[in-house]
Amino acid sequence: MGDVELINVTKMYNSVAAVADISMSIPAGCFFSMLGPSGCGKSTTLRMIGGFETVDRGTLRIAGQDVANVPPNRRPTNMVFQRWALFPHMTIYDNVAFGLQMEGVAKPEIRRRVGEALEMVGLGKRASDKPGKLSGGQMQRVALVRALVKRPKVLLLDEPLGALDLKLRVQLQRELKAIQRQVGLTFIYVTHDQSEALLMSDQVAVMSEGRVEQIGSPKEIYDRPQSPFVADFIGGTNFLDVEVEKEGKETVLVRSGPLRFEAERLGSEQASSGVVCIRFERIRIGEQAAQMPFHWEATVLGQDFVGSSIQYQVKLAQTDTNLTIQVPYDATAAVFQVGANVTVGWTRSSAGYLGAKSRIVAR
Amino acid sequence: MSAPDTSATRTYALGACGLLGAIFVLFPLIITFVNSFSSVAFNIFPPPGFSLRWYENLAAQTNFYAAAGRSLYLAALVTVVTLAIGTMAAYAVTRYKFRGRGLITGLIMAPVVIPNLAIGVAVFMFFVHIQMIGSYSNLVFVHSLVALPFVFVIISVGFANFDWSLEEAARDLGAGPFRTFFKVLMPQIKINFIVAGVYAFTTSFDQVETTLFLVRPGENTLPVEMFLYLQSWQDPTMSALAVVLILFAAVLLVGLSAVIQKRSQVMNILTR
Amino acid sequence: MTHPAEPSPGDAVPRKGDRTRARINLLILLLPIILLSMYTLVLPMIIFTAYSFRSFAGARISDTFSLDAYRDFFSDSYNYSVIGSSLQIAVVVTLITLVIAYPLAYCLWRLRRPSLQRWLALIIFSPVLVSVVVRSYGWSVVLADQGVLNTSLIGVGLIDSPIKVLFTSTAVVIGMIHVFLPFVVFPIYTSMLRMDPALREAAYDLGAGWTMYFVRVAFPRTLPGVLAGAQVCFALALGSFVTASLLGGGRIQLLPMEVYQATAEINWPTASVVNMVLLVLAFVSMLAFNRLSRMAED
Repeated sequence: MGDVELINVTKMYNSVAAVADISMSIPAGCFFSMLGPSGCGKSTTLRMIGGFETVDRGTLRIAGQDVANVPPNRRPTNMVFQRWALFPHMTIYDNVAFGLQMEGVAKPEIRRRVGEALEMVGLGKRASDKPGKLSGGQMQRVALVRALVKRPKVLLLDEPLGALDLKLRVQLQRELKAIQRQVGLTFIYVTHDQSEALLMSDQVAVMSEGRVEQIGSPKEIYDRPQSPFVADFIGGTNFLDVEVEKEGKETVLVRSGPLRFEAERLGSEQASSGVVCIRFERIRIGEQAAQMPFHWEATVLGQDFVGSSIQYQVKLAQTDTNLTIQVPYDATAAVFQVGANVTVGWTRSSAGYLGAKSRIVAR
Repeated sequence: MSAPDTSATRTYALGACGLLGAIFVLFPLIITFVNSFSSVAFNIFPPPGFSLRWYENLAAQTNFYAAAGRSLYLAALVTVVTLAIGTMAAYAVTRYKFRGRGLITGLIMAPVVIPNLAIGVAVFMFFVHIQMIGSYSNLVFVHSLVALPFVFVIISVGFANFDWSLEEAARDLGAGPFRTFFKVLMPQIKINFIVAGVYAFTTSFDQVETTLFLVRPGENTLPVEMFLYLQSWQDPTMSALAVVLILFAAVLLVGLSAVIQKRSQVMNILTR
Repeated sequence: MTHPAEPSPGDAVPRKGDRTRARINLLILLLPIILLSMYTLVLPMIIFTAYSFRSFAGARISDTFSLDAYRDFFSDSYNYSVIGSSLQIAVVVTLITLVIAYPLAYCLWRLRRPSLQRWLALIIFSPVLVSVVVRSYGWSVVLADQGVLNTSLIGVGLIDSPIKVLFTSTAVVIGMIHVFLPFVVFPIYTSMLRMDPALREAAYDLGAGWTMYFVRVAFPRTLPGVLAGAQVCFALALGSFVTASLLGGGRIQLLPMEVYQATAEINWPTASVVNMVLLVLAFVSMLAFNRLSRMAED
C-alpha cells in the first residue's frame, strides 16, 4: 500500500512559493514522474515527500498516514539522490548494508539481502570496493539497491541519471523501469528530460513555477496537452493564435487570418479566442498535404537535417505565420529547398484548441 | 534539511560550545585591555584604580616606535616578495605536469612542519658562517620562507578553481604573458591575493623565533622588542602596547571584511 | 636549443620547440622559490648539522669532527627529562586543543544564522592577527597570582589562597592551546565544509539517528581534517618558544629553551645537537601523522 497523497501543499522560501497549492494522488505501484524545467518545484515536492523539507501548508499522506511531523528516518520512503550520495569511506557492501544495520537486522540476514541486491544489478563481485573505484553507472546502481534493499513503500528518485551520458542513461532508464515492474513498488521520479519521463512513467505530472500544469499518462500529456506550457514543453509544437467562429462540444471552427480550419477541443473553456497547437510531425508537406482536409500554400524558409528527420520552417502564403514541420528522413524522398513553394496541410485531429485563459505560453 | 532532524538539547549544547569557545578566545584580550588601565605596576585583578600612566609610559618608549616602523616596513616587503614568488610557484605547480612536482611542493611546504626556532637557529649559524649576519635582507628572506607555504596554498586554491580557457582565450587574442596575468588571471583570484597578502603581512609582523638571533642589537623588530622587554619588566606597559596592537588588528579586520563582504565565497575559495 | 619541427601526421605530437619553451618557463617560475629555499632552508640546515659535529671548549668551537656534543647531550639524564617534558606538553596540548576545536568547528559549520556564523568565525580566527607575544602575555596577566583567575576562584569560594598557575606547565599548556586553537579549528572546519551535504540526508533517509550519522558518517569524513589539525598543533607545540618562555618563566625547561640558551652562550655544537633533536622529533611526528592519515583513508 504505497500510495502518496498531496492535498493543497505549499512550501515557501523566504516569501516566494517554491511549491504553490499543489495536489496529487499517486496510486500504489505506479511509476510516477514529476517533469518540468529547473525551478518548477519538482525536487522540492520530492524532498517534502521524503521528509527533507517541511510542508508549510496542506496535507501530505503516505500509505494513508499523515507524515507532516515524521522525520525522514521514520518514513516508509527511501531516496536515490541526484549525485548518489554513496558513503565514500565505506565499501559497496557497507553502503548497501547501512540501512539494514540501522534497522537492527541480524548480520546473516543482512549478508543475504545485500548479496541478492548486488547480484540483481550485477555488482556482486565489487562488494569490497569503495565507491571511488566505480563508474557512474555502477554507482547509480549501488545507490538504487541501497535504497531498495530496505523495501520501502515508496522509492523517490531525484534526477538520478543526469550525470550519465546518453547511451548509458537510456540503458538505465529501461533497467529502472524493469526493476520497478519486478518489485512492484511506487516509484516517484523527478526529471527535466521529457523523453525520459515519457519512456518510463505510468503517470506524468508536468510542473511549472511551483504549480501542477497537468497530470496524465504519457500519451495523454502528449496528445492532449491542457495548457500551452505543456504543449510547448513536451515535443515540438507550433502555436497559432486563433478566433473562434463556431463552438462545438468536441470541435471548434477557428480562423487565423485567411486560414479557416477545424480543431479538436483540448480544454473545456468557452472563449472567443485562443491558441491552436499543432505538433511538428503532424503537418504534412508536399503531395500528401494536398489531400489533407485543410491545406495551404507556403514557402520554405529553411531546412535542418537532424539525422532521423528533417525540419522545415515554412511561411504560409498571405500571412505572417511561420510553422515548423518535421518529416522523417527518407533518403529516397524529395527534399524541399529553401524558397520552394509547397503545400502544407493537416487534419482536424492534428490541431488542438486551447481557450483564451491558457494563452500565456511560458517559455 | 529543516526542522525534523534537530533536537533542542543538541542545539543548546552546540550553542554553549560556541559561546564558551568564543569567551575562551577573547578572554585574555579583554583582561589585557582592562589591565592596561590599571594604576599599579603589578598584575592584579581587579585593578585598584584607573590610570593612563602605562599609555604615557608606552609613548615614552621610543625604541618601540622604531621597532614598529621596522616591523611594518619588513612586513610590507615580505608581503610583496611572497606574493610574487608564491604566485609564480603556484602557477607552475597548478598549470604544468612535471616530474618533480611532488618534490617541489614538499620543499615549498616544508617550513610548516619545521619548528620556527629550528629555522631561526640554523639561519643564524649559516649567516654568521658566510658573514652575512646583520643584513636586513636576511630578515626579508627568512620571513618570506616562513610565510610562503600559506601564500602558496591560498593562491593554488585560487588557480585550482580557475577557468583556464580564459587564459587561452586571452593568448589567442594576442595578449602576452604579463598582460594576460594582470588583466585576466589576477582579477579572478583577487580575493586569494588579498587573503594571502594579509596572511603574509601578519606572519612576518609576528615572527619572533626566526628573528631573535638575526637582528642587530638596538635594531629589533617590534615582537622581538616586546619579548625582550617582557624578560625584564612585567608591568602593564605591555598591556597598553597590546591594546594598541589589538586595535590595529581590529582595523585590519574591518577593512578585510569590508572587502570580503562583496564576495561571500571566501570560505569556498579557501576550502576547495 | 630548438629543433626544427618534425613532420607528423595531423600535428598531434607537440613540437620539440614548444616543449622546451614550456620547460624554460617552468624553470623561470620555480627558480625564485628554489633559490630562496636553498638560501634560507637547505643550506642553513646543512651548516647547523655540521656544527653539531663539532666540540665546544673554552668558549671556542673546534674545527675538527667530533661526536662530543652528541655524547654529552645523550649522557646527561637531565636532557631526557627535557625531551620528555616537551613531548608530554605537546601531546597534552594537542589532545585538549582537538577536544575544544572539534565542537567549535561543528558549531561554526551548523550555525544557521549567517551573521552569527560570521561573528564566531571572526572571533576564532582573528587572534591570529594579534601577535603571539601579546596573546601569551595576556594569559600571564590572567593567570598571575593576583590575576583574574585566582581572584574569581577565591571570590566564588572554590579555593582559599591563590594557586600558582603562572610559570607552571599548566600555564604553558593553556597559553599554547589558546595560540594554536585557530590552526586546529581551520582544517577541521574545512573538512566539514568539504563533506557532501547529501551524505547527511542519505544517512537519515536510510534510518540513522543523529548519533549513528555522526559516528558512521560525519566523524569519519572529518577525520582527515582532525589529523591535519593535530599534526600542525603537535609541531607547533614542540617548537614553541615564545609562549613557553613567557608563561613558563625559567622554571619550565623545554627543548626550544635549551637551544636558545646554548646559542646565547655561543655553544653552537650543543645548540645544534638540541636543534637536531627537535627537528628529528618534528620529522618523526610528521611521518607518524602521515601514516595515520593514510590509515584513515582506508
